[in-house]
Amino acid sequence: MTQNGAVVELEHVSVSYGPVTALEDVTLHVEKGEFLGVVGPNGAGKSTLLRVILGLAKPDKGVVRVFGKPREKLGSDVHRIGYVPQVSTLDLRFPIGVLDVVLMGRYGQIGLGRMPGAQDREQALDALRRVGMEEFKDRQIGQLSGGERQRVLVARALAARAELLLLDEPMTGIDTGTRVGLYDLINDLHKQMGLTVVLVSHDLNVVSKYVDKVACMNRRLVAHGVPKAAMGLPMLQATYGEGAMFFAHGEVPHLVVDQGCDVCDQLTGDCPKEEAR
Amino acid sequence: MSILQYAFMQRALVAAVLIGGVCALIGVYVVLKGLSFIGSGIAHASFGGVALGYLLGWNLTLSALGFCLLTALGIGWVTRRGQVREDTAIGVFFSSTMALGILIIGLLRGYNVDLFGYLFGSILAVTPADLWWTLGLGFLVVAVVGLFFKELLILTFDPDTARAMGLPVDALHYLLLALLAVTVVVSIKVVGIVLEAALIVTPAAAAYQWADDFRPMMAIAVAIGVFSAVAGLFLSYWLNTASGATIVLTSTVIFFIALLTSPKRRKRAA
Repeated sequence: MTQNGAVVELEHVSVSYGPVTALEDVTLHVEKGEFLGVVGPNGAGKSTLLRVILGLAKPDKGVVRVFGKPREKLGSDVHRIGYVPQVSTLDLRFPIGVLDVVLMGRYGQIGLGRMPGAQDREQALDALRRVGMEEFKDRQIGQLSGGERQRVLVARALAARAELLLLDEPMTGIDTGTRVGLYDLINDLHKQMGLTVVLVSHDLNVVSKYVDKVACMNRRLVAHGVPKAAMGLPMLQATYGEGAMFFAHGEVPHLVVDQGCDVCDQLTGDCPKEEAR
Repeated sequence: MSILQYAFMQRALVAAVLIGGVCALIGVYVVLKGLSFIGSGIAHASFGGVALGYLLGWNLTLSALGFCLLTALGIGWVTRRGQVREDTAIGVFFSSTMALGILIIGLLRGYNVDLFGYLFGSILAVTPADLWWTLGLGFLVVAVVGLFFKELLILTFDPDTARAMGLPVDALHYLLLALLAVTVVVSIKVVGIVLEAALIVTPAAAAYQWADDFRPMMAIAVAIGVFSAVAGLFLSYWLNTASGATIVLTSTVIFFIALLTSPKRRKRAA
């Protein structure tokens, strides 16, 4: 059933990698102009959810529709999806400058065998301006801070004229102060440009401040709704497991201890396991 | 220069320039995408192709080319099914194609097979026909790289995003492997199967130390590739050493100079 104005529709979607089930029977709709936060522990299938929408993972069961079309029949509408991958998937020593990275956003619409033209360049510069990174256009990507790098990747999605922005753990490795600025930027783009945003994060509290809706995942969709209702203590325990400890403070309980390391940086701002990696 | 009065030396020089440049160009992708081992594997596979060509009386360049392409695609295909890691697949293919070559050469006892030339290179024995092959295939490689420049760039830097954009990432990966196979075949004459990988990897590895951007890295790699091929050729003539090995060692010296003078090194120290 296609709802009017739904940008992403997942109906009973299951995905497994060999014997490992990553997503199980997930039904989730994202409305046009919605800012959805996806939270959950490591291995909860948060990234897989994005990969299904991107067409990078194929569901074993269920239907995925994007912009009202089945994902595999998206055709040229694929350019309306902007993807901001986890920084860890990129080689930061790669000899490439900021402007060239942003120009990649245009590649899907230029056609095989042709190079970006003046108009593509203008759109890339415009996107850099929107994220406040224009002065860094000639920097090699490895010479940026984590927050600056994320802004560049957001700009790349904007350069594609994306209407749906998918961000996979954009705050990983970024200090708390910088995170706020980055969330503000994404929120501004969401508000000003009417972008539909799906943001995967383990940053429970901050996410709850910005998003319209939150989806709590643990392979299954545990809860989905406005932050206050979806992130009550019982829902969070169902998402993170009985071993997780929360303390109530404000409207959304804080996650303090978890068996995984996913959210241990909630209070300390850094994760010892992440440094070891 | 007086040594250039010999026709074989003129041909060797032209071949060195062409091959040094083309190998270094492809080498940029090989270095950035971590394909060094597969390059080496494909080079060794060409030995099986050459031997098969001798056995069946085919054109040796064409049979080596076909064999290398099949090996490159075979490695890609076996890996894609996910049962075997890529380095494992390369390990299996590279020794088995070599073994096939040795087996066939054994069957050909009595034939006048220039085995040594194929293993270690014989740039001074480049024939006019070889030169035409080199020119044609080298031009093909450069043209395809030029045509698919942006696709190969995003394939190398961020294949996930490329796939999400709807670009044919698998086809592009096979295209890159095919380009690598053609490059290998073109340059066997110069340094031979055993030293082939160095011609591809070393100039790009040196350029990587000096360049912060993709295009300069390509230009520097090609310059180093051409320079070491030409310098190595003349050095080998004057020193009376093996030309292929001299070319490879020349580019290795440049690589170490690059490593020591790299701005990246200073940045890390600071």
